[in-house]
Amino acid sequence: MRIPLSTLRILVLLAVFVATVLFFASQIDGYLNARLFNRISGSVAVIALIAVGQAFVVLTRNIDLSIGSVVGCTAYFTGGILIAYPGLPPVLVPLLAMVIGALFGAVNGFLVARFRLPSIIVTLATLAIFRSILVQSSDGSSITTDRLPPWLPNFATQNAFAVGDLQIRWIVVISILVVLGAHLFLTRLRAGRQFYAIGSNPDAAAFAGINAGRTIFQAFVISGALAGLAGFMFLSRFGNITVVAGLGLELKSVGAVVVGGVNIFGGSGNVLGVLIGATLIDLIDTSLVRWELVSEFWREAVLGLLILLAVAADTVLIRRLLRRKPAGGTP
Amino acid sequence: MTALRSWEGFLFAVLILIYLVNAWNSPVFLTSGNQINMFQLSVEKIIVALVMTFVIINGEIDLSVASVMGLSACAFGWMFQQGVPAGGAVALALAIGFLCGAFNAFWIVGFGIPSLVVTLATMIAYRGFVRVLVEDRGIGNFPDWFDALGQKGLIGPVTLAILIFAVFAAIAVLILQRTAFGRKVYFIGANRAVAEYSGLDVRAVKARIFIASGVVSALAGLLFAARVGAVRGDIANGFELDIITMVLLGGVSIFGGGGHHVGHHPRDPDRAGPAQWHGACQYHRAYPDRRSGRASDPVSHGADDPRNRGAPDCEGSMKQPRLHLVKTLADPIGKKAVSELVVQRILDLVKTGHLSAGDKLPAERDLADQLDVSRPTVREALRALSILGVLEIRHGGGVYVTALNAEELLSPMDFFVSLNAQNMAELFDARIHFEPMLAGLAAERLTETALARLGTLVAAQVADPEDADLFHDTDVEFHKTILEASGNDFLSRFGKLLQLLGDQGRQAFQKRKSIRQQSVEDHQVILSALQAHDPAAAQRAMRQHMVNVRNALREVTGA
Repeated sequence: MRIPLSTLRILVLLAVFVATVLFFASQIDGYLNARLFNRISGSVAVIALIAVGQAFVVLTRNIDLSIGSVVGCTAYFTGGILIAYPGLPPVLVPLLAMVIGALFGAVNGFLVARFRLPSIIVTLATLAIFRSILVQSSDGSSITTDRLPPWLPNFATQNAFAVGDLQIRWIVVISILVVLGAHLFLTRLRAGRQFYAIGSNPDAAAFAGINAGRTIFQAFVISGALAGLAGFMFLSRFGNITVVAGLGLELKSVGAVVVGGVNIFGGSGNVLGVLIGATLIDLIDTSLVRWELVSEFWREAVLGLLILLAVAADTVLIRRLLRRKPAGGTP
Repeated sequence: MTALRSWEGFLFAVLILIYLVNAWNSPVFLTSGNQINMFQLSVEKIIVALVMTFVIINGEIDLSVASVMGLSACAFGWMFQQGVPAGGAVALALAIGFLCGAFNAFWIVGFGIPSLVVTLATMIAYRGFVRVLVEDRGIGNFPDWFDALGQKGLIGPVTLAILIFAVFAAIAVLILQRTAFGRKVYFIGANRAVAEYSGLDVRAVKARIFIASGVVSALAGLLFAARVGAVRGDIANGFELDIITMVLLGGVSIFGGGGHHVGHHPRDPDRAGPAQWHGACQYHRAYPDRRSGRASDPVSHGADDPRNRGAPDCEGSMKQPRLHLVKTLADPIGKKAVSELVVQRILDLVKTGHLSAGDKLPAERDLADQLDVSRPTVREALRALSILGVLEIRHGGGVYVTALNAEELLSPMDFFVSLNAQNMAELFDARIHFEPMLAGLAAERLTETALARLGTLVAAQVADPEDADLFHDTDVEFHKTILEASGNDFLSRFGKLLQLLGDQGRQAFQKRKSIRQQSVEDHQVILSALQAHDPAAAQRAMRQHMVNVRNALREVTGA
């Protein structure tokens, strides 16, 4: 039986994920309980969104380093608009956040696609520029929970349904729907396959009549819109938004994408893997705090090494299963 | 104006502008003390940017540099606090930098994991070790001599860090431009596969670069600690993005192999005040594909000196990688050793004249016996050499040494160029400078026979606008005829080389009718200028033609 590479990769990731859970369960008393699930699912909901957005960009051989700043900006601006117009219908608010995020994404996409600038340079610049816009326009003041309409902070803890003690929150449902939607879009639709085509061979894609510029632009807009939705959830979860909101999320999203098995040089990868990658990173991050063997100061050191080990294990396992030569990376 | 069109020229103009604005606004801006102060604020980052240039040219990235800076600084502080003498602590901190670099290299080279992933993880991990070491404390009160090294000038107002920068900068330029290692760095960045087939030990080069990156970052971290006089867990946090920005701003291609020059114009992106540009450290272009190998000051010569472009450089680029086949003989031999050894043995035989053009090699089985290696190894070596254009494998007819002429040796480059749209566009940049000149020469010398031939070719193109193959053949012939009429054998040969390169890619994009139509129109204009024996008009027409093709190419491929 031949298992497709993408499925194989997800199975390997799931195995690593289960191994991680079992490891922590053996180390920490009362580890496997509903609270762990509730805590992790809430934060994964936010990170999975930006990681999926990042995956779209990475598939096209680009990178979006400005994503953390976009999350911060949309959270802040959406909060600001809600404070000014508290009567806005709740359904419109996430859409508004997505539009704001998409506008930031469009700036990146325009610069990369129209002027053919390397995305790492463009988004490195917009990382700083978007953050400065936030600092300038906020004048250093913060958004606080008590100034927001009460439905918003409550939204993050509202359950869609519950299974026993496991609470499935709305934000988790939305996030999973987005991931599934992105997965179907990328795997089933012509418009989705174009992202892979551009990433795996830009010249061939161009000769096949795919408009590279437009596809890359779309990738950045999608990345921005998903970062905007994440910004909305961020606002809902934390309520208090300062100018440093979302700082460092760009690297976390890249981390989730690469652990999730998306080829950093574009053209291959799977957003279901990205979801598992995001969950794995968050799980490790959360669990290390509770692991008594290591002090909390060890958290980052261990996290970095574990990411490395996860990727190395994935690479080695996939290679062994495919009996490929060690050089050249995985396809 | 040509100087302004290059990236270096543009940066230099911006630099001058910023200097003028600042000098206008502040009377002390131009004093040497202020200049040194400004430079000092980011000198540690600039030192790391020097080594990052190598990493990026090589087609990799090192995100962990700032964490290594922090780790070495904090390890120094912690050891000093534990009673280790400051001198010993400095040495140990540098050793830690070495280990960090080696650890990165282990995963990147040993496992083949992309460096972006590895150094992203170690960025977090090394920063984590910093927190383990100093937790949330600050450590200071270093010995006076240590602080003085960072804060006082050694020679006048010039501090140790600036001296180290100057020395490192000089060494970096020398290594990149004058040593085999430097050329390998470029070559591997430009095309790793070809580099491997050429017998370069890609893994050893990459490992050395990452280790160097670790050591230099550790040194920069110590300099930073000495200048600030204390260390904390978040020291140098986030510097990696500034450092990468400096390198990219200096025009090094993030996709590797395309560093216009190591001479970045370091600039501190997070300082809004007086811009931290520094013009004193511009090195000359060390472009792998059209390198002149000549270091000169961009101010006096013009950064984009047309003399650096065009044919002679093109020729240089073809030779550069090949020269390393010789130099790698002394290099340590890695895992793929056996087939590489076979490649080298055969190349040696060719170089020493034991095998010459047209010679037939023994059969594969005999070669395997004679060299005492397996047949697949021989086959791999022969294939590598045939890709390089040294051998020709005739089906059923054995293996022969090729005529070893330039065109055949160029064909791997041709393959490479055909794959890379950016290179294609640059190739046309070269032709934009070159072909008009030859068209001008040809206008004076074209014989009536040649003119008639050109007329026939263009007429054929006009007559059958749908036939892409016909267009391609007549197009090649058209340009070749003009090149040959220039009356200078060297010039026409260079011109033909430029034309030969990228032929496959060009053929693909000539399949578009609009592109053919534009070219046919251009050809008609060129032809009438040539018929009038008007050099200036011929130059203009040819130039316009090349520009049109290049722009069309850019539009199609996005390069």
